[in-house]
Amino acid sequence: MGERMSYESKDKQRVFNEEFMPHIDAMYNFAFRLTLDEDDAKDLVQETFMKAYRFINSFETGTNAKAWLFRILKNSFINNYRKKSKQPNKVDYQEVETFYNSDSVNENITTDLRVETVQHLIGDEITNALNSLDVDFRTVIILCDLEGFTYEEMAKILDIPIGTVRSRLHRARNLLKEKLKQYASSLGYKDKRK
Amino acid sequence: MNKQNMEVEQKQACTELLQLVIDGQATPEQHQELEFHLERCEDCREEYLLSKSIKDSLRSHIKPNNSPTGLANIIQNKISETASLK
Ligand SMILES: [Zn+2]
Repeated sequence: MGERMSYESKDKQRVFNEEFMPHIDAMYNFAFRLTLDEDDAKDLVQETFMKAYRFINSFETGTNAKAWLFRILKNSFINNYRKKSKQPNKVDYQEVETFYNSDSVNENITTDLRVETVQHLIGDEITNALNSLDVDFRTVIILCDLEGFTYEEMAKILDIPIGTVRSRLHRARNLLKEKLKQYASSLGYKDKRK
Repeated sequence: MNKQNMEVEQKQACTELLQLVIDGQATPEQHQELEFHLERCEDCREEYLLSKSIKDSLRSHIKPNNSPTGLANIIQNKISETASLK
């Protein structure tokens, strides 16, 4: 960062309480949806707020505190949890770089999932479908659909170009549709056109 | 460019436009463009309604929770401690 004035220590606590603390619920929800574990989520939120305090001088009052905090949380999550997991990152970034690989254009995924079917699904089914997605795909749906961030904000939170945000979101949604379709058929919803 | 390529390109443009509109990030012109297209393209119309209903379902079914009781206090205590150490 440039030559920004640093906060006096009294101001630090004021900025922290006024700008950061109001986002604690949103932070907890994001942490829980990433880790899918209550204790891990609590730890992650605590760690995020401690880091936010430590790096408070790089936060500019009046800018989007929520996005700033989400970015710290996401980075902490990657450092703490992704390293531990034995599986390498499952998202094939090469594959999502392009908005449409020929696959996703041609496979008309949606034709046999119907609006009425989606409307009949209950909360647990929707939640399970979302949680079953690989965390990178889950994340873009959480940020966009549940938290309402813009593509631009998401690009900053995730440290990726906007084009990648959009292509990943597109792919995440196709995967979600695929999951919902599986749920629907396992639950015996009939496709009327079949 | 052959016909199939043109169709693929057209489909890509539609899908991008759909995404922008569904996520509330389209310009008024893009809105109009999509509306105009949806009137004559059944595929995109279905795709639009489906994507919208999934987004609505996510929003209505996955409600935010409050953070666990006491978490805010723990954090504020830690911050006060850190601040007083300086
Ligand atoms: Zn179309």
